[in-house]
Amino acid sequence: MKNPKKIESPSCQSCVSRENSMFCSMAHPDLGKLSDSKSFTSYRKGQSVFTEGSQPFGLFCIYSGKVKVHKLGDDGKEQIVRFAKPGNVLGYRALMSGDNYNATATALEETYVCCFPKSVYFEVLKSNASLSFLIIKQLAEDLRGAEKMIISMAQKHVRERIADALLMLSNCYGLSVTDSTINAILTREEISDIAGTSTETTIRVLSDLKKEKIINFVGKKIRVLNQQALQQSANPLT
Amino acid sequence: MKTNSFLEPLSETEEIFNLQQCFAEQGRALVSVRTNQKLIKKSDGFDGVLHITSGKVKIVQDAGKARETIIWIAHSGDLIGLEELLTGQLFTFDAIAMTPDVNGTFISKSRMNSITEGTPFLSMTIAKMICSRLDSVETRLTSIAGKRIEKHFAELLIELISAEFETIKNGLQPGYTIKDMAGLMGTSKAYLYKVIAHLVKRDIVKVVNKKLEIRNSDLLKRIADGELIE
Repeated sequence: MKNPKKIESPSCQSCVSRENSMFCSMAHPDLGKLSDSKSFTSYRKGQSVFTEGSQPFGLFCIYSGKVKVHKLGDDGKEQIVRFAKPGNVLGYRALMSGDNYNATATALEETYVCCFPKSVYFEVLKSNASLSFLIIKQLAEDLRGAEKMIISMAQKHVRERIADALLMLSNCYGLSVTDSTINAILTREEISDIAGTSTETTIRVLSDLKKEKIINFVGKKIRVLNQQALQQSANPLT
Repeated sequence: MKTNSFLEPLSETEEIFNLQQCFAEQGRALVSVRTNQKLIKKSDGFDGVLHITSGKVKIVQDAGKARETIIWIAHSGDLIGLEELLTGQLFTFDAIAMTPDVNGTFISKSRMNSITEGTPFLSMTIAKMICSRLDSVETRLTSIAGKRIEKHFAELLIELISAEFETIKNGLQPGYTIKDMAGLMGTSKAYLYKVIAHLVKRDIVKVVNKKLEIRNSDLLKRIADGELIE
């Protein structure tokens, strides 16, 4: 795989993705500091932004594209723990804890990412109390998401988990206004890596959901035909 | 607990001590509780955090049919309700005392804000606490998703006895009930008993008076490492 190409870096002050990020309320002097020091890189589909076990050297902020964050199990099976979209920040946990990355971040499509050096990030963090609060808040949200996945994995049957995975994707990336397809293309294997099941079972359950007219396939995309029925499939007891 | 570059002047001990001291000074003491008492109920509007100073508290999600999933176990120094406070959501689990010696201080949202604003390094300490919990939740998630239940159980037992155990005549006894261990694994007690029965046959564990005893921790480690799967 070739190295990602370097292209001209957009400034943080005029970044369109900033309003969705933890840097949204940051004052211009701090933004300038971050903007001047960052590198800007493009990643093709399947390329890693950072890998599990490697040392953190900076903070990543997604400018455009989509990223999956995943861990490798002992049996070699991947588990997707979360997704990221433009404005989302990655790699802050390893920086905060001082440990190596405990997961891998991989581009799901062509993705542009800004990387702020560790030293500049800590310098800005020291002088910006609201940023440290936003990072704690983001950590708390990540924790709630991971706990929800634990409950899903421990208490739900495979059909419910796959429906949950589709809802998680549609909540994160949204549905297309024109045709209600989920705004992300994932392979069946990747969907099985969210739900913690085999690819074969995922194919079977997706086919069942299609037969029941809850979803449909449009090329590589999944269209949600009946959102309420999908919710019901994910949480049949409610 | 590790420190980041700008926290280096503070030693690990000072950091923890200050956290405990700040919370204890500004919090409100809890009355003592009994085992299995619900400290916080699901959907409680819990406008603050509970700082545990002694004992163990399980944070559980009830799955009905007498089955529960333990999300995590809070020990001395842990903060319950922190993520709800930060995300502004209701408490979605039950917090239940596991031991009779649970004690702690309740810290209201406004007090919590004044503590963190008045002592900025505490924000970092709190961030690190959440990072550590997040690491453990994600590792568990990967473990539940990809492992055979026997391997997962062996791994849990090794983890539990490395943290807390009682030495008995013929082995070790983890400080958790079989029901709690089923909750930690996200399985039913009945199913866990089936797994235990298989381990009992190989004389790796034994159940005496409803308590699990580990007779052969070496074999258990080999199962956890995936070397000994039948």
